[in-house]
Amino acid sequence: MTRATVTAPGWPVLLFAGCGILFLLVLPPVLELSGHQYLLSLATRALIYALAASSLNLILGYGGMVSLGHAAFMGIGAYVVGILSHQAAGSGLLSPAAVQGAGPVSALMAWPAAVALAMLFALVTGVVSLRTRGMHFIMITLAFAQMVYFFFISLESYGGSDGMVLASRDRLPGIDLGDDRVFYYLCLGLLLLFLAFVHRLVNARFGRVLVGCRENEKRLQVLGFATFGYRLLAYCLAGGAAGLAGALLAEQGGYVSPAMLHWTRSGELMVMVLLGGTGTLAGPVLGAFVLLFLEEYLALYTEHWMVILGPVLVLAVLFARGGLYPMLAGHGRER
Amino acid sequence: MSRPLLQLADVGRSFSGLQVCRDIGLVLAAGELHALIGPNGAGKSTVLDMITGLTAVDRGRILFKGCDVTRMPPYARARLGMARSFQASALLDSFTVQEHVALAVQAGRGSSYRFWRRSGSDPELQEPAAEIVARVGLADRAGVRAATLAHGERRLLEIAMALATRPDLLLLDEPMAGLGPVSCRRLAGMVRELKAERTILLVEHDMETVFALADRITVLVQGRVVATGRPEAIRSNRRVQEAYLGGPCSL
Ligand SMILES: Nc1ncnc2c1ncn2[C@@H]1O[C@H](COP(=O)(O)OP(=O)(O)O)[C@@H](O)[C@H]1O
Ligand SMILES: [Mg+2]
Repeated sequence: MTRATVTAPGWPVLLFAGCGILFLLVLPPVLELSGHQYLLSLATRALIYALAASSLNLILGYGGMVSLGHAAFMGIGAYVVGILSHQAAGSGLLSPAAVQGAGPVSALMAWPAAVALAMLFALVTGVVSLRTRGMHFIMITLAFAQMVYFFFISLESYGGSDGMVLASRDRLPGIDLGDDRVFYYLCLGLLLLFLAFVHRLVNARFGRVLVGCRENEKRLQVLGFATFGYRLLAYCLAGGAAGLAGALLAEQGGYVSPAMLHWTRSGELMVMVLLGGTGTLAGPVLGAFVLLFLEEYLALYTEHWMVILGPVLVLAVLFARGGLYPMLAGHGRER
Repeated sequence: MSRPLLQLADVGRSFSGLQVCRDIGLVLAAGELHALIGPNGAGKSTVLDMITGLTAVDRGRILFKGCDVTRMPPYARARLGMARSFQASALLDSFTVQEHVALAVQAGRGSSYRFWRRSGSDPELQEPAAEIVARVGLADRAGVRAATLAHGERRLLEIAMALATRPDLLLLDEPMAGLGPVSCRRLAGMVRELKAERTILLVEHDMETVFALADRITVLVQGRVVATGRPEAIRSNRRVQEAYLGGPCSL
């Protein structure tokens, strides 16, 4: 079931989910056999953005919190990985042994740290921003994100506005993160885990309260729910997942830079959610793939791809009511 | 006499300089059905807002079960045991009838910080919810989304949600407004049934129902209480008759 309801999932939803997962599973060998290996890194990035967009969807789609600062969590996650890696290299830990094979930092340390710091940032900023509504919430989340953006620009020792290149991917016991195919499947696994978690969450008691807040928060308070806590926790969970996505993005591309948390990135995440379908499980994943691949292909034909992509997106959102996914899976989201 | 369940003492509220309620005193004994009547704009809904905490009072105190709840947030008051229905239905458009009531049941049963178990298949929530849905006569509409309900059905769902939290004090804001005669009678019957179970503060324009059901009546005119008493006394009260003469309702 992908919608925020307690009705049984219809067969189109199950079919769509099955086909989607199968497609993502066979994508690497298919790309390899057809000689399109270079697309694997784009597909991996799409998976990572799908994770980030899904986390935004948790608060935006299910919780009704329209945040325009979500890239900040990704940036924090990315910089945690980047800074730890940089520190390790700088302090001489990048020994010949490390250069030969595994990266210097354990992902088991770096990734949880990325998640924890992103969650902490969500907690601190959420306590303030969740007291506002509507346009004010959009602006305050944007303001917090810009603060982080300028903070990282000012970090001269970590590359300032240029960011920094990482020596290698972190190491994970038993898994070779340096292998692009392995890394792809790891990202896919984490994405599916998070989606399963969100699916349980929104249908459990917690999620019913969260979705209720989207519809009419005052009403829930009068029923006896202290709604602030539920919304804050959802905000922190979403921040943490976006932090993980940021960490993965840093590992995948091998660099971090403030551009990762520019406000336009937050806007892109929002477009992915809106384009794919807010408040649906598969929507943001679809949105992430469509947006990233569209960007890539349009960039091949013209450097003014933004001029084309903008209207395309507007049309898509206008005509695919509720997003691409509800249109494809055969049901519009009722509001 | 035992301690009153709800007590408002000198409660007042103004909106941008306009005094909407002033010096309101109201006492509800446990078990009574107390009707709050008055012309449109008299401040009845505002009184309910102040009792539930949706509107802060400017002055005065509100006691519920002996607790001073004047500064308590709405959710804390609800947990102490009050529930209300809204005059303009405040429903959750994407929720079905059953989901509304299950959510309200959930509010009254322990922590909702539960992340795994599907609430839709949790008998602890769904069974009581189904019972209440059936009680208000919406059983055959249980799977329908609120957005597509008819007006009368929305009114019934409002009451079902209020009941589902198992409140000691039930605040009903014009439950019969806009209903046809059949639904009206049905609802009056339901309120009569509920009267045996709970303390009720009923805001209602339908005088026939009010005088038939209420133990006591308080009349509010332009934000002031002009009379409180048994139905017979209210019916013969000069000030009440004056207030209502030419008004929307006749006694
Ligand atoms: N939030 C508000 N802001 C400004 N005026 C309000 C507000 N709520 C109620 N009022 C005013 O208070 C008066 C009483 O309203 P209300 O309590 O709804 O009356 P009733 O329920 O008796 O018809 C009305 O004149 C209304 O315009
Ligand atoms: Mg009213």
